[in-house]
Amino acid sequence: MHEQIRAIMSELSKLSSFALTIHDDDDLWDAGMDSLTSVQLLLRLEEHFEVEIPEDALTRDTFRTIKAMSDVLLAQLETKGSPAS
Amino acid sequence: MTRTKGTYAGSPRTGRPAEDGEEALRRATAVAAEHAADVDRGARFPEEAVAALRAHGLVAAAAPVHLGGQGAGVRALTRIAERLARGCGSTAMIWAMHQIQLACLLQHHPDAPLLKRAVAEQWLIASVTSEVGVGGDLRRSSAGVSHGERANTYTLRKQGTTVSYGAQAQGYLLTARRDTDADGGNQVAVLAARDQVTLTRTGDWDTLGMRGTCSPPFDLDVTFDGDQILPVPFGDIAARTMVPLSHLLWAAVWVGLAGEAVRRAVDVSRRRGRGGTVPDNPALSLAHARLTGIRAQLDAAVAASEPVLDGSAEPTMALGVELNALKVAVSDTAIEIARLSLDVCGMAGFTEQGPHSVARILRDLHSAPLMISNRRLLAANSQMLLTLRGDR
Repeated sequence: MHEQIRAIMSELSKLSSFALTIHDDDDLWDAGMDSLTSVQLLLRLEEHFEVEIPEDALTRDTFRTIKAMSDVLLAQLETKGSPAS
Repeated sequence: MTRTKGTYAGSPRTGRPAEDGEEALRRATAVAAEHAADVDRGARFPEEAVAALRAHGLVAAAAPVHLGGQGAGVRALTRIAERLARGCGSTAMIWAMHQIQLACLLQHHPDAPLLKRAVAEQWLIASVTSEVGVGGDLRRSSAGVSHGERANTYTLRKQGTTVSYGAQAQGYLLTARRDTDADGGNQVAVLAARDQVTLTRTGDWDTLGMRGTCSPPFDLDVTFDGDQILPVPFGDIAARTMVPLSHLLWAAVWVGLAGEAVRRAVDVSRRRGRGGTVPDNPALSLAHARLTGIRAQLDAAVAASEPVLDGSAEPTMALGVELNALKVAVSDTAIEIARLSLDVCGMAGFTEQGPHSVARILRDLHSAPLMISNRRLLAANSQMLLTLRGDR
């Protein structure tokens, strides 16, 4: 899951320079994430994992770390009933 | 998540200022109104109105009572902003901008050594977020914090492009990169006292409206201690407090200005009615209808923002979209309302003099679409709308 998220992050110009090297718990907002990049990332993650993240989870904290994104995506995949690869 | 739970009085969801505050607000608004034309003409700071606000304790309105403030929550703050704007747009905007800085400090650095003094002495705190070279982006800084000569001291040199009441403030809340090598979006906020800042004015403030806010560019050279850096990343401060409260309080100022324009149009129509003229200009009822709409939109946005501002909920993308939409709608519609009011008032509205002038109001309101440009917010919303779920 984390590696797939990193691969998707690396497609975005604001994140590409550190997507493959940043730690799972490092703060992405401090590293260069901005709100519009988080929108682009969200759309790509949802398409890739075929889930829809609920509105109340679309917060800064969800996009703060790779681990936080992974947790939210896993929760949605479990709800959907198709376990993550 | 990094958050310092503060003492910003966002939680008392009172709809109105306290009863004894009503008279204080009425008096301060009257002083603001008395000097509004002169402040506007001279592009001078509204010192009489700010002195009146201080005398009535309204400069510290957002601070909790135990610190010497008035414990006003966001709903009460919007009411005060709206009322003050009826007297003087510049005074109301200065007051609103200061409350935003104060709320950021109370919520995100309640233990700041300077904060108690700032509240007790009713400092005006100026925002220094704008900067040469960042294109008006609140969330990017060019200047970075550097280590000072002494241990645990820091320095910051920043070129602010628009520093409202910069020369009159007693404190400054500045944004900067966390250090000179940090990413432009990795920002901190710093509270500095006036005597820690060397202030060099680098331009003038001679504008179409909001002339009394005295917002020229300044270069600031600041030396400060480590505990003056807010412990929460500025991105979180912006998302949780500064941006929501800015959109709400600015909107309240513009609603107040538009409301005053309509009041003047009604007054003109009433006088004409007494003279035998049937007051049937549809511009008046249209202005009123538009005013009712932006008031309702502001009320709804206040309700949606309260849980975020009191720290009990996370700011979502949906709330961001709603607040951007509020800002764009109120800023544009308030101008339309003032234009319609001018149509009703006629030459009595066009002149700068007299009780039915809407000239200053109309000029002041033209600043509204520019304060965080509507074009930028609309572009952001066009992207963020893609994240919304359900029926919007």
